[in-house]
Amino acid sequence: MSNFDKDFVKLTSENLILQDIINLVKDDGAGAITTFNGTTRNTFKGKTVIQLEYESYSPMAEKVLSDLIHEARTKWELTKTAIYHRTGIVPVGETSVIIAVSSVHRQESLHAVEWLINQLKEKAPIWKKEVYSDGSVWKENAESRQKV
Amino acid sequence: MSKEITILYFATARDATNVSSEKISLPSQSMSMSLKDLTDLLKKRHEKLVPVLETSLYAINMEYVECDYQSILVKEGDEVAIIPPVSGG
Repeated sequence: MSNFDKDFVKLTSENLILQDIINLVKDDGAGAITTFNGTTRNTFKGKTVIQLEYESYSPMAEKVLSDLIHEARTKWELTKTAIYHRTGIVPVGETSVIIAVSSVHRQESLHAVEWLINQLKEKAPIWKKEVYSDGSVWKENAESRQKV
Repeated sequence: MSKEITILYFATARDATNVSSEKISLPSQSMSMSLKDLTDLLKKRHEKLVPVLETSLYAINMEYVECDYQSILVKEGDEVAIIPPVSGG
C-alpha cells in the first residue's frame, strides 16, 4: 500500500530546507515531529574537503527508501514521513539528507528516524565523492551492505 | 536483432569503465545468461572493473540480488546495476 499524501521520498539536486520538509509531515493529530539533518563535513583525516559530489541510482534509491518507510510503518505507528536526499555537487556545510517523521507520541518518530537513517546508509544506492585540493575519493559507509 | 541487457555503472564502477551504461548482447540463440557468466564477460571487457566487482553487489531491475551468481539468470531487457559499497547520508 502506498501513501501518496503521507510519505514523501525524493532525490533532488536542489538545496534542502529543513522547514520545507517539516511542513510536509506536519499534522494536527501528531504531537511530535523528529528530524535528522545530515550535513557535509569539511575535513576527513586532516585533509580539507573542498566539496562533495553525490551520485545516485535515483529510481532504485527512491524505491529502496519507499520500501524502508513501508517497513518502518510495520514497526512503529507513524503519521507522516519524508526522506529527501541531495544529489550532485553539495558544498561543505550544506545539508545532504533530511529525514522527518511525525507521530502521535514522540517515542515512535524518535525510533523511526534513527532506524531510517541507519538503513539508508546501509542500503540506498547513493555514493559520495569527497574532493580535496589534491584529488578525490569515493567514500564507503561503515554500514554499507557488503558482498558476502 | 540481438537480445540485449543493460548494464549500469556507478561511482568506482563508472570510473573503471568510463561509461555510465552499456548494452550487452546475449549469446546468440540464448534467452538468458547466468550472472556468473555475465560477471566473467564484464571482467574480460573491462580489466579495471575486476577489483571493483570483488566488493560490489548487483541489482537486477532495481532489486539487490543474493550471491549465488551461478543460479541467477539475466534475461533480455533486464537492467543490471553494479552497486559498489554505498555512501549515502
